[in-house]
Amino acid sequence: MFADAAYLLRRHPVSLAGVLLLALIAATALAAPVLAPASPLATNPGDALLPPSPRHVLGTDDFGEDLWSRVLWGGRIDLLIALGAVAVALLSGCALGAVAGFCGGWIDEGVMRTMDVLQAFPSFILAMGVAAALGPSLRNLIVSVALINVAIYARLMRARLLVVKHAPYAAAARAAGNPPWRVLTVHLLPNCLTPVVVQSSLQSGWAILTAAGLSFIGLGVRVPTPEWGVMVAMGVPRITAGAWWISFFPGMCIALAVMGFNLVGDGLQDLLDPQRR
Amino acid sequence: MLDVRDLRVAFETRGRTVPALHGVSFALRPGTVAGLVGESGCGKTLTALAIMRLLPATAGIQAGDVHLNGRSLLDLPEREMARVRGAGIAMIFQQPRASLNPVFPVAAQLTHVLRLHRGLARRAALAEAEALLARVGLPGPTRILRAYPHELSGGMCQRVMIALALACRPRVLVADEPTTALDVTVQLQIVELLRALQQELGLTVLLITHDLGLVAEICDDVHVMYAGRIVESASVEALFRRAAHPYTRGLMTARVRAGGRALPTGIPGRVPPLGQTPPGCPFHPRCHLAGPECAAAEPPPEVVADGHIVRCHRWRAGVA
Repeated sequence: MFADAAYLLRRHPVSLAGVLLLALIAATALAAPVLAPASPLATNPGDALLPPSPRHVLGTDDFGEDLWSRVLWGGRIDLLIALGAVAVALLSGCALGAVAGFCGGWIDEGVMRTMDVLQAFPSFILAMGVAAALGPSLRNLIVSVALINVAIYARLMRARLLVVKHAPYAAAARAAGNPPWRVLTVHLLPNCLTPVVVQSSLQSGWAILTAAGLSFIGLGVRVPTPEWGVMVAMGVPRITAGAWWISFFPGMCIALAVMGFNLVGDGLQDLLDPQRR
Repeated sequence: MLDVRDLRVAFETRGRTVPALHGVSFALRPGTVAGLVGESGCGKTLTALAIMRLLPATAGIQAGDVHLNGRSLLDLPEREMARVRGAGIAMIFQQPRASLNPVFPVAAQLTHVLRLHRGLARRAALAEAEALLARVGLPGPTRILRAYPHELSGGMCQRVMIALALACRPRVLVADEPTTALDVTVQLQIVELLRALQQELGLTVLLITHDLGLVAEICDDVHVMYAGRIVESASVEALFRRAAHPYTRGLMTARVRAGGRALPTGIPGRVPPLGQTPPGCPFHPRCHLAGPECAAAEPPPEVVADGHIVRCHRWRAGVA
């Protein structure tokens, strides 16, 4: 597996770039306490709205907080939201889709019509509604971003399962004495994972965007928290005053993280398909 | 050994019940190979699936009984039936490559079965898997263990499937057209392997096929199916020498013979679609011997000779 991955990355420099980008973001986010020159929440009114300079590499915001420190700490929160939301959506969506596809009948109908309802709303509006109803907090942000993605995973899983459920190897597994649940979990699920894993990498990028968007409009995490979306929002009123850096750097971070996830998603597609190795 | 009695299977579609098997009966003698032959759509595979209790959700067993070593399989709770599958009766399928799971290497699939049914530890299972692959004549078993199904040829996949089927030491092996998807040369190798394993392990085999050459090659008994019924049962010598049913004789003449001058004649018409079986003997519209009684009533089984049973009103007229 790892040898395959190494070989693949050498052949796809673009995926390699994505992996390196994500690795860099993750590493700096994890090392934030060491790398950050100041606390992300340390205000210093005397240093407010300073442009990038050797003392404050990325400048400071309204409260004189060091943007470089805040961007580093923000990586932790945004990656946590992305991975948390994707993990929640993936686990619940796949479980629902797998059961629906495998059982069929009224279970299938019930699950998939519920997913229809979820998808009937524009996803960001739904996330807004859920986030507003639950109240702004990190956990609720993760839940609302996850909820709008559940249907995607459920559909993906169900569609794939409907194909593989009738494959001869499923019949062969039954004939070898596997009970139905083991045919599903041991034999069929591994054959359904490729599109799901690829999707989750792409979806992680979207999750960051959605979370940042929710925070931007005040429905995600609250203002002093170093989260990229909130930071962009804080900088917006200052752009006309010429303080472009407050929004620009966290915005760049969002863009780079989304790009990293997308590039990795493309690479995963090749890696996980045994026939394309 | 395996005893199938008056097995009736029907499909339920849109509130309609369409019978597909009309009372199939046969018995497998221990340690022999029985062939189940007939044209496509006559119910061969359905019979096998009914024996394994793996019918599609739209089909159901209406009546009849299947006994394995005197135990009725149709009454078993699902949990115990799962134990019979693989360990009591194993099955191999038409499309060897598609029957292997594409995301796992051969080793994982073999050891999974060994650990599931025989409770072997990881290392013992791996050693046993290697022994099984060597047994089915695969060269370089260590290399094959690491291979994925798409890296193997069709013949190799079928050998792996046979190894999988034998992994739990079943007493009965149901082989559903095991050579249909393979090259002629590979077909012969697989047939020889099946025959050798059957004799070595004393297996009882039900071979489903439409290839009479294959039947002549390895079967001891033959059951000829037509439209969901067994129309003739006989030992392989009796069937090839003195086939009594006009359908069986039609199948014989439909074979292409190397070196023969006459073209194969074939049987006019087609197998009647499910639900449109003609009244009386289902074969009478295609039969050159058919008389008025054939359309009136379904012929009962008649004994031609010891162990040779035919269902035809006019078999005497055909046997010269």
